[in-house]
Amino acid sequence: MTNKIDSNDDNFDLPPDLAELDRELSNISIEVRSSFGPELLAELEQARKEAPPGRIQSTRRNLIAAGLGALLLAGLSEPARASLARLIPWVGGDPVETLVTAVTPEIEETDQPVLLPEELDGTPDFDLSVDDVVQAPVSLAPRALVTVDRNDQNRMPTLEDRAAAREDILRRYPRDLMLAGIGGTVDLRFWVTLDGSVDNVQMTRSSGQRGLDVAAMGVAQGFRFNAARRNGVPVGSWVDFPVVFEAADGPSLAEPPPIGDVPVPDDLMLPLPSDLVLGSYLTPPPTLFEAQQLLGASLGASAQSGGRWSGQLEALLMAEPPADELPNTWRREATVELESAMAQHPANPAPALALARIRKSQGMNSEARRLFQEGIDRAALDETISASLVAELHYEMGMMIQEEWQAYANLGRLARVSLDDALCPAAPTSVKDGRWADVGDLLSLNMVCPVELGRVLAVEFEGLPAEVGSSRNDMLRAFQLARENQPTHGPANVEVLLDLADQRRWETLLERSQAFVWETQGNPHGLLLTGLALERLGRVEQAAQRFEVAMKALEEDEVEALRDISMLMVDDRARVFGSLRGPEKEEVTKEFFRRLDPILTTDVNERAVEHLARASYALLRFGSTKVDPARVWIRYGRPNTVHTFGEGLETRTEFWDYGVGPDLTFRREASARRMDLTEGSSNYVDDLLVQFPHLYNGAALRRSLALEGQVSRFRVTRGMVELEITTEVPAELATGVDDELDLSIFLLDARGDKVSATRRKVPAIQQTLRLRPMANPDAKQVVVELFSPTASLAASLRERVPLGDPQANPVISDLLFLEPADPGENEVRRTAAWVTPNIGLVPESGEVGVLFEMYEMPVDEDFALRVVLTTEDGTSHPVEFRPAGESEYRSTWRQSANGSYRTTEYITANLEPFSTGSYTLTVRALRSGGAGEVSSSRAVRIR
Amino acid sequence: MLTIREEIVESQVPSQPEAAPAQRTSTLPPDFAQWFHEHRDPVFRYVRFRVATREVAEDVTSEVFMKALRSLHRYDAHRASPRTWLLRIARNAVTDHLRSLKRRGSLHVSLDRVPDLVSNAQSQEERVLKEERVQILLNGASQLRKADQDILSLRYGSGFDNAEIAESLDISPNAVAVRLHRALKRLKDVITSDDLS
Repeated sequence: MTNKIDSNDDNFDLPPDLAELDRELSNISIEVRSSFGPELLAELEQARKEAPPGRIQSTRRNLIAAGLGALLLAGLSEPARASLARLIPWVGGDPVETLVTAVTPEIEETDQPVLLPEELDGTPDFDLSVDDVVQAPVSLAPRALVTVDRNDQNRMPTLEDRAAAREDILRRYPRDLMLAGIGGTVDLRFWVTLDGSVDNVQMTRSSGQRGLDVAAMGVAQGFRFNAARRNGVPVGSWVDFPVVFEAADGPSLAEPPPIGDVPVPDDLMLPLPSDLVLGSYLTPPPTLFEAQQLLGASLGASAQSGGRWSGQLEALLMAEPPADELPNTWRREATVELESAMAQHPANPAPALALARIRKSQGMNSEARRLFQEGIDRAALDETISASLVAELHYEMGMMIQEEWQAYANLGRLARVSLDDALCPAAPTSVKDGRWADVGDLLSLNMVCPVELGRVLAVEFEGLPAEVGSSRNDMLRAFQLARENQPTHGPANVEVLLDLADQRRWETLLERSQAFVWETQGNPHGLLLTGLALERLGRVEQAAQRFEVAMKALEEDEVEALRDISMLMVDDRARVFGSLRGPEKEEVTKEFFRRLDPILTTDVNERAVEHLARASYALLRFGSTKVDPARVWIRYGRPNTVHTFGEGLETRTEFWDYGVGPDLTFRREASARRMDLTEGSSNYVDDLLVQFPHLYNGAALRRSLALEGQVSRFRVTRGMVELEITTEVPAELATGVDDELDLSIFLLDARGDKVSATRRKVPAIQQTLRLRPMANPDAKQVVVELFSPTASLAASLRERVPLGDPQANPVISDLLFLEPADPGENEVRRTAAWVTPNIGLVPESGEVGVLFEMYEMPVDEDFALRVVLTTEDGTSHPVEFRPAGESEYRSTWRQSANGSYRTTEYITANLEPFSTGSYTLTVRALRSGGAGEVSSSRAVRIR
Repeated sequence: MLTIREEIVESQVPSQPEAAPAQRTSTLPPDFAQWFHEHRDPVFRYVRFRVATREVAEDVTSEVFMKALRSLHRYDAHRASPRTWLLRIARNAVTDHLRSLKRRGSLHVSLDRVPDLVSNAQSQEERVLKEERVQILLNGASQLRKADQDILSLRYGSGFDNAEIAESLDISPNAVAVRLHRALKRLKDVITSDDLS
């Protein structure tokens, strides 16, 4: 397909030179790849599939929600009322109902690997001669995956500094293995980027020694290359690179130390060996001692006994004035002293580090940043400075940049004119003028007309570019430098990994966090992030295992924070929960999540694992699970989008969009991560908590869909109930005739515990399923669940089981909707051949067969039957119906009780007068003599 | 406890299950599916005119429709036609893409990235010449300010006439003619000064 436009189609009067240009441009023919359209269509459909299955709700649920809403509305102040009214369509069910919301498709930004021309001649073509290397105890000869012509235009990546790389490898050679004479080769494969840095390091063959593998993976991250070139242009390329650790000559100094029984996995995606986490993990050596020594050396006599700074080196390095000093005087004197030390010792980073921290504590961020850089530059001049200290400097630098960058994260503005178009008459009009919308106006609009504001933001929000010098890339670069110097630097690694989580690059997060965990021999924060990645990728069982392992190594208060579920509870329960301790608390937590388990078929509780995934992120990102943003995050998950306003102001206002209802808004200082809900949002969140304490999102690959169908309860004997369940395998689970689905029926007791479970396999094709389980009085709820192991998707149908009071007299069963049929005479029974249930849908202008049973009818009493259809807004209309064996519709029908335990009734209801939509159909049996009535209802959709 | 008398009383298995998948219809909302078919090519061509390679154009176009699908419930027919709405999303997506490139410092279109733009070349020689010229035109266009790039992309990428551009940009057709004229003039200047340098 190409396009071509004829410039003569308009009044397009151009001078000759421009007309020529116009012709040229018009002749550019843009080909659309023929398979692009179908591919994109398939992607969109896939994304659509992963979106919620519409807002299909039963009428009954709407009524419950509307009822709850009405109760709440009665007692609330005005702004809250508006917000709750907006929320109700979102709730659609009981407060703790499992809901599924849209999962935003992952769109990852990746560099396309550009493979070089394939002209393999069998010999590695690389301008690093092997002869240069043999002298060294380590090999540095990378083997390119693909080779090219040897000329300047096309060449493979070359190491920038071989000597430095060799030193790096030596430096990373684990000392105990080196001394023990243990060496080996670790085969790595990694991507050399356009700028020559190394990315995506993978181990293709292990050395058999975990320590060497870890060291090789770590050292490769720090390699710098001259990027490969094609036609003179730098391109990225894959490189195979064996890292050889050659043991020292001569006899070993010691026997090889035992590494453990578990063989080193050559795939980091394998489950972690059980001995990896022993409650302790590799941490960088403390830098404080080294920094104190360096600082002492730079301060000379004044740091020694009797000097001004004697005994205060730690205080100087921590920028914390001792209790007996006047803080401002102390800082002033320290500044003078440190500046002087910097001048006298140009290669000593410690005074710059101390001064940088003092400046930071004074809020002089740009000065602090300059001083951290100064410290980094100085450290580079002195070879004896440890890599850990250099890493620390880079990390602190990264945190400084992060603060600056924070001021621009998601920052943007909205033209005031776009609000004029917002068509929200109820919104207060601001008297302020100016080109950009005022934050206060946006906050009001958010509460009064959230839908309109959402629409405007989606289209008109103008993102502002990050300020030069404080971009995300600078920040990541600083953290990356910290990692290069000290690959096990925990906080720097966590920052880099959190950034991947922010970008929803779950595969990459999984890979990198696994490597980090491996490298540190079990850093628990790394494990939490691995768990998060696995959970988001739908690998919930593995995620649960990671969280469990992490808990063993985390600090007690961190474990407490992750296990805290008080934010998911309303006030009283939260208080009770907060007062519980130890096993009691654990039991309450288990029970809390047991009721919420979205997929009973699987052994893992997806809801509980999602909670841990969210809490892990919140803990690492916000520093605590008790602050406002963390609590909101844990309740409702990641917002769909964040819009931040406040350009040019000292405060920023973040709008978190959850797709429905007003955005939740937070306020923070421009450069701070710490933020609080705005007053309006705080009230709104309190309202929300009562009605809707939390939301289950599920992962794209582990969700539970609503299963459509009808569950009707019929009494077999007093107390014993038989369920008649009709449902259909939904299209999402119909993965093909070769696949099977797990069909399970669970009966739950009042606590939500399974009292029984029955499983069968059914073919994964669209089909109607009709099931008739029996339940005893212990069962309070039935769950019918279909689980597709292929698609990792479930669909479930939950209904309450009890059929009235077993002693009540009389009782009417649930209604069973059937395809309309003529039963003839004497054939009204539930097992008759013509009884064909449907899933509760009736064709437009049609009839529906309704079967029900009545039990324990008093002898000699008449019942007048009536059928009523109720609309969603509560209006009732009488329905004409035809009793079995009759040919005419009528509006009532009198039935005499014959004194038997059970009678089965069948009527055909005429729904022709009603338009499409959702209704409730009710059958009423009015007892003679004004003794009341019994009735039974079921939701019906006419389509 | 529970006894299942007849677990699966009846299982209505289609007689020819193989035939079932072929009958599947689109799961997209009907409006959206129609917009997709009508506007996919203009959107792609608009994007392609502004980004360096076909691959990137495909990625950005895909993002445009994904975004549109996600925010479909926010679309308001009173405010904009579907095409205008989609193109607005496309403009933002292209801006985001270019901004991310700017940070990485490579906005330049190189010669090996334009083969999809000269499919109508008669001979290899003509093809090479055309490729070079397209490269110059696109690199020149990428140096213009955003509004100029926008209007050129709508005209020469999407292939819209003045009235259609006017609708998309919410300005009068006369204003389109004027802006287009000026954009062409500026493009001419850029190309000429590049030639001289």
